[in-house]
Amino acid sequence: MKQKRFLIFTGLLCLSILSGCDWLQSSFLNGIPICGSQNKEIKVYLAIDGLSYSSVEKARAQGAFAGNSWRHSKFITTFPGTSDASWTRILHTEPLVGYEYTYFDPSQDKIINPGMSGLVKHVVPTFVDGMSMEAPYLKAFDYRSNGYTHSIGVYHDTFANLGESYDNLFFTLDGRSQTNSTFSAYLIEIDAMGHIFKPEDVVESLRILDKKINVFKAKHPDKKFVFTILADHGIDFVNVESKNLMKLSEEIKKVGVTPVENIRGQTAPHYAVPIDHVRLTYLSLHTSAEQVKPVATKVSELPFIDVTVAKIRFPNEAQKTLTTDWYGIYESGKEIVDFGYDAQKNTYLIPTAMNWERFGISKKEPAGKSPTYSEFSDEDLFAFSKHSAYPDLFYRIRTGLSAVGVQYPADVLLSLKPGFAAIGFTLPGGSKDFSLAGFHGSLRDLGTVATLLTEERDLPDAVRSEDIYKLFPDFQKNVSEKTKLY
Amino acid sequence: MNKILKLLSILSIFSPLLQAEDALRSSTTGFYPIWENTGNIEGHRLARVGISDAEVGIGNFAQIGINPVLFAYRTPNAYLKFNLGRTEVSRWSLQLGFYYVLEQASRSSMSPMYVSRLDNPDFTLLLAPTSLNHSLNLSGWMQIHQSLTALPEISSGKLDNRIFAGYSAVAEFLPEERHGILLHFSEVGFWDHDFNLLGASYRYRNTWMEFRLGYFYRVHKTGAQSSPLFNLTFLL
Repeated sequence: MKQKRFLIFTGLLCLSILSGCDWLQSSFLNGIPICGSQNKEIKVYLAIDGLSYSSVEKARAQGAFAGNSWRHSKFITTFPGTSDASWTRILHTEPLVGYEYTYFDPSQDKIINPGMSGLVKHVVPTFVDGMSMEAPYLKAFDYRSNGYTHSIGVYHDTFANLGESYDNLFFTLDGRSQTNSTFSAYLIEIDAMGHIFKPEDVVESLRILDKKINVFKAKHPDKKFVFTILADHGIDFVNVESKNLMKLSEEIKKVGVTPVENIRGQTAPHYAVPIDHVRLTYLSLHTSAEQVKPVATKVSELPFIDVTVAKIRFPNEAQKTLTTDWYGIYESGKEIVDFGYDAQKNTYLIPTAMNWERFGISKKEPAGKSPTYSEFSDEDLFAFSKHSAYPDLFYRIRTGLSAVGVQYPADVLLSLKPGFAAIGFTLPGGSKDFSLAGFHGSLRDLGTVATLLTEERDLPDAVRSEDIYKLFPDFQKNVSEKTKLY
Repeated sequence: MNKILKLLSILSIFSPLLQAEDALRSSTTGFYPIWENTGNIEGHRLARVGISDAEVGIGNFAQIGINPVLFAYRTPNAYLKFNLGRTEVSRWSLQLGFYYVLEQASRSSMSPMYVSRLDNPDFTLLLAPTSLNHSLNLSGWMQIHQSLTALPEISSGKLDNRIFAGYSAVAEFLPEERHGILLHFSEVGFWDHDFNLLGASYRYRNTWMEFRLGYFYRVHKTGAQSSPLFNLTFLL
């Protein structure tokens, strides 16, 4: 008992000393008055987690971000629309292992950070940089946190936390603008607000941000600040009843797929490792190569699944002659589309018989590649689908199932219908009634279409999120000074 | 032998082996770096070692010290503090110091959870704060510590070389007791106002250690930034 007390005391003492060191350093550096007169124009990039296109449209309609200097465009983000994976791909930072903290590692054949051990990593602060549990993309930002308790405060008192973050952000920007010509910052509170509160709350927070930007500019008449705002995904603002929170490991049993924790040595007719980490509108499955098609077909029967997608590892002989990368889209127990990708030409092979209307896409017919497939360029498919119910559908399915931004992508991805979500977690005490106001993650447009809002340049009507550096090379320069790009 | 015992007592920091007197020692440094200070001087051959102070008294007229953590965070520093006079209720001191903020010092924190408005990946900054300090014992239950500081800044690039002025006042309640409460205020910049510092802290001390925990707001024209501050010092 004494030894335990001593260990607790020593641990707390070490933690206090560790914290004390950084608090002292922060107090010292932030207590130095600084004045630099070299930079006359400062480009500011604000990465706002979960800022949907619709929220910005509403805020602009109410007078925020007004004037000719602001341009606004749809920012088509990646699938699955989970923050860590999406920011990693937008910023081209060090790839993640899986889409989230909880993931399946095929090399070890086991789930890493299952259950609460994965969930708790969302709120554990980083005391020592080298022992960080956070995603590497966070290193890309000049400002990203207001202290050790930031990630708890985001959910405990989102509004107060946002106020503190805004204050910290502009305080830091004022100092950095004395020496640097670019500045980047990350804000997470708007995402939490979208999950927990009303759409109007997000709009009001944007109006406050706009006001703060204008006040900040007015207080620095000697410098020109050019702001750009981007986001990693949208929010659908579709309320989900707690009875519609789905537990994947239970649901897949209903269609004859056995949930397992590892793949090797399984004997069940159909099996898969379900990953159910947080409350989003996508789910992922890992299984063996020969099980991909049957598992995808079966789970697509589940009534809460909108679309199931999978990378087909064993295409038929006719398909093989066309290209080697094939993907399937499944619905109601059937494969409704199989499409190929030619990496050399960056083109897609889409069945001529495809029902485009199912996905709300209107297209122009390109030249036929074979009697059964038409060849589309990546640019054309983006142009056809950018305003559809499933924006940038083929690119997002292909890259979501590939090792792009993640080391271990899923074998099968499930995109849920609006009004349904993965249960992800239950609060201590068993309550599910938390974070039910809005979601993202699926292939559908509302959770996918984020915002690109800028004073820096003209914008097309829609931008693929991974192309951000093509439009904003100074942002790339800012990020690459702090972290390696891939 | 005495020296060895003293060294051992430093290493076994919880053991007040060599504390000869029971009287509680006054604070001889300010809590918030650069701007806060006191009129008190460390007694001859008395020392303290902590997170933010490592210092020793010389001949009851001066003390010399460093800020150890900043030293390790790419900011070599030192200061010399002189006694300018004392009465029963009042103490005056003058402190001369320097901080040499090396390149990348602003990125040397252990945790990424706090950021600074200073970013110096490719330039150094020399700070040479000089402060006139006064501690006034209003009664047995309250002391006022005031500092008037001139802070010359010399940068190897990007920042302008300038001198900033600052004033701080700290009201320390129950200064002679083990438990004390302190209220902090500073003005930095004056005619070229930069920020105000507002804070509150708790202090515990006994014959061999001093512990402080506080919370500070830096109120700037563009926003208020806040952070806790903590110090643990062993009195030797």
